[in-house]
Amino acid sequence: MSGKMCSSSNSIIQAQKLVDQLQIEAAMERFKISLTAADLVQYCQEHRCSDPLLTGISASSNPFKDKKTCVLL
Amino acid sequence: MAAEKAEMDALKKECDGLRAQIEAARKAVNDTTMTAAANGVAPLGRVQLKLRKSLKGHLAKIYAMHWSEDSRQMVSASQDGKLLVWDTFTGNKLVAVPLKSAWVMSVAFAPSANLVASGGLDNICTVYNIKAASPKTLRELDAHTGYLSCCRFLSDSEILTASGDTTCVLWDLETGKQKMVYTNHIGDCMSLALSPDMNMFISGACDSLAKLWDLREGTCKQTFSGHTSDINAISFFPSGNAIVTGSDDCSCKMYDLRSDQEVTDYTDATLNAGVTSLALSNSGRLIFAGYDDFNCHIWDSLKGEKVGVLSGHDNRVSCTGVPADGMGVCTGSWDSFLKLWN
Repeated sequence: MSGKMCSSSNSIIQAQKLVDQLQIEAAMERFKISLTAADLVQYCQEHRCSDPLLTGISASSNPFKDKKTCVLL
Repeated sequence: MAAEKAEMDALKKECDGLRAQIEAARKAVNDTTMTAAANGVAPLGRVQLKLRKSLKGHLAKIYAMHWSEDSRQMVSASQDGKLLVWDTFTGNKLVAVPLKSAWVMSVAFAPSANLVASGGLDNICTVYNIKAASPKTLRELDAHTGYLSCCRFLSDSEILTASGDTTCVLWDLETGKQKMVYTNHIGDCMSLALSPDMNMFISGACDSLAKLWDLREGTCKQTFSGHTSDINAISFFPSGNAIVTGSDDCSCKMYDLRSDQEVTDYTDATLNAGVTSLALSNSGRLIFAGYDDFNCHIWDSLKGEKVGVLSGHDNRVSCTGVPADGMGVCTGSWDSFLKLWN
């Protein structure tokens, strides 16, 4: 009998925690996707030039490319 | 008993009410899609990266890799029971760390490059000093009751871990004790990522949810749903205002933090393999996602289109990483190789 009551109180504690968490999440101010998506687009465009995987990397400045040695004849 | 049932019913009603409130608030700001917002952006065309190096050294499946902040060194973890620290410019192995437990699932490089950490089915996060003459165990962080799926250093004195026990933990490396325990997931935590400003972090779990946490307060601030299976990979968009997730449901998704919802879904009818790992290029435009189909597929994050593929592994791609300078991508695989592309 007491075991069953314990688990009921546990369920109530869990349910209260869930309510508390949902209250935190419900309280936030949300911004329109038209604004936030535009902001993400702007970020990508502004940083395009500093993204080597978009701009390309020259052979001479490519750190991963195996350098072939030059032989002076 | 009747009083308790009445209380439960009241709480359940309150939960349902709050959930409806959140959904309504999300709907109210859902005035367009990312693809529509990206209409004016020039398409990328085909992104073709070349294989520059294949790093051979592990003798079994590679489960994790992490770049050092110097964008040159990288550490990988394999179930051959070793961590290997590589000089990716030369392909040389700099340090080999033998593990007490071969069942490793995660590895991390400290920003200082003095320390590395790993953990897995032993439930322990072990931190090693790799600057000593031979790698020395600094700390064994032993409190999780489930496997260690991911770890990330904040500094040489703090590390964040994610675990199969459904919690994430912030540890003090000086004392070896838990500073904060983050509980809210109802499934194994599989992955975590720190925000660029280090005040928040995100976690992805087997409950198919992604959560945003306040690192210092210990509270879950936002919960993102939409995936229909385990989230295995998670990353911040470089501005810190959006997150990208990869899941066993074969899709990746982008969620905007300020709109509190999914803004893009990266799916392809021909892709029927789970996503294991992901990394973004420096501008956030490219998403490199590792899949169970042995490939790393490249997505245009704004237009939601597949723009390329990194093919070459003979088994599942288990880990993917882009270094801080954005000069390439590293993929690690169950085929025991790491490959560098750019």
